[in-house]
Amino acid sequence: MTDQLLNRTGTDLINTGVREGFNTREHLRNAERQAQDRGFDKFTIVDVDAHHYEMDHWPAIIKYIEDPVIRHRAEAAIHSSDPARTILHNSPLPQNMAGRILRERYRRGEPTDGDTHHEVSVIRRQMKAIGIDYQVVFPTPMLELGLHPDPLIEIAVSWAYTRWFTEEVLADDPAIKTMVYLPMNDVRASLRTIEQFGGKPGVVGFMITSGRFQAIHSNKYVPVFRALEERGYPLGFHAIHNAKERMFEGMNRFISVHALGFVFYNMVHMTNWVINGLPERYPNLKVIWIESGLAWVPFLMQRLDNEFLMRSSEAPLLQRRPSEYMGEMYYSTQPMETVDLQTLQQTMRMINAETQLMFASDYPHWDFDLPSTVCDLPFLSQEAKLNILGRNAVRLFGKEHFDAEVDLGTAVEGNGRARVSQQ
Amino acid sequence: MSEHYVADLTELQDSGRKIVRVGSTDIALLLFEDDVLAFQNVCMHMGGPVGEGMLINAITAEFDADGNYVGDRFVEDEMHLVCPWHGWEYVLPGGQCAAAPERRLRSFPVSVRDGRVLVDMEADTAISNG
Ligand code: FES
Repeated sequence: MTDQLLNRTGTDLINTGVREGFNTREHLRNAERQAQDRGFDKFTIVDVDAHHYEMDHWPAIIKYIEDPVIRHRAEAAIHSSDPARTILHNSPLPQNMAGRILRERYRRGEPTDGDTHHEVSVIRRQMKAIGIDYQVVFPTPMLELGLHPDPLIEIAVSWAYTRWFTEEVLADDPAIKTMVYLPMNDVRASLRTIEQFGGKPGVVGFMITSGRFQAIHSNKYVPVFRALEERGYPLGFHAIHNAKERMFEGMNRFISVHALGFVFYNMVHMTNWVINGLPERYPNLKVIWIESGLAWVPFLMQRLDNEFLMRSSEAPLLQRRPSEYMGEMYYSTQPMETVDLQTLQQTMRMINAETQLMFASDYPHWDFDLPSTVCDLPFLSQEAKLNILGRNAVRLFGKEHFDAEVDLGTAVEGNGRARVSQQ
Repeated sequence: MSEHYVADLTELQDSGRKIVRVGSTDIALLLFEDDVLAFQNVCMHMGGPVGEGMLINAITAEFDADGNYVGDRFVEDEMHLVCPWHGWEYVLPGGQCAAAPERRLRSFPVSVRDGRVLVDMEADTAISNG
């Protein structure tokens, strides 16, 4: 009798014909026959390259790491989804700071009531606790898929994820939204994604993961941008960090890779987007820069403006300075750099925060922000706070995606002072 | 003085810590070496439940005699309380923020009498940002 191989969640994966009670000797029975037939026992055979799976014994191994700090990191990584990978060859340190951030470890097994999808229950909980009415949800490790060497994997996995998320999760709660992953290593697959998922409940836009090397102004992407512009969907660039980025190979700390990575890729795409005149070519395509914080934007505005004034011949499509186009794009707040409020105030002025900035929590990631990061800022008007916390998003995505009576609010209560982390 | 009985010492000896509420204030009681510490359970960063985080030694970078970096080391005599929300670390017993020592968790004087832990709520030592 055959047994079905089960995946980690216990669901049927595929009927493989594997026998109940897998046994290596049985598995290799035909090899044993060959050995007998050929009389292998009559001479010496040496196998100079065989393997086993050390990950199966990871806890037993890492207890022998002699450096106590590295041993602690390895032990903490046991609670990540892929413990060996976390310490061996992914980031130099996991996001959860060797277990100091507790959410990742406990969230997965968080009990919820059985009738509602686990993801929906947990997302609802976090929204209610933080005070969020609508949440645009993105995946996590999939954000690295743009760097996968096989574009077919990006296409297949992003398609499957989006089907699952739109059909099994978003359908359960109209307050949960998403911007759909575009597998931009393949234009036809991206167009198919737009065709298939555009108009689905909960889909408020489409998203390019910024960790990818192909030039965003390449002619091949013309149909993608046209399709989005025609349908009125905003396009988000969601930043990532990538410890294997060639330039980051010398970075030994997560803090370093994260601090630069999340702005690095978006700076490259923003520069190509503006200098190649895409805002002029697709004037109705709204672009959002996600999860890069804000401090990079004034830097890049000044840098590009300065060079544009000298080398405008290299940006022939631009009718205005780069910073003017950038000031018409949209930005998500998190992780908002709040250590110097005067600088933050200047930043908000330069990016036209009152109309272009949208609150983002990034929950449950390690550097999440709360709405208080915005509503406690002493220099913002009530109107600006309301806009950043909700109105700008409703205007950008379209009221049709929200309750008919979406309450855009009339007053925001701050605590009258910035957080203590703000000076 | 406004002393409140918040726990029996034996409870802390069992678990090392306890979160209690006095009025509307959540207080994290920590047994640290032979002392009981009482901090408001509100992180100075974004208000996270700081008293529910990891207790772990501080980390320092070690160099050999030639100035070569040889690795990170736990500091044996410096314990940190780590906020579980984003990882802000506070030095025990004082509650100074490790990365910004001029900031300190709000703390309360504690006395232990007859095995009873008492917290003086009027004598807090820092303004927090709840
Ligand atoms: S709230 Fe404590 S580290 Fe952010």
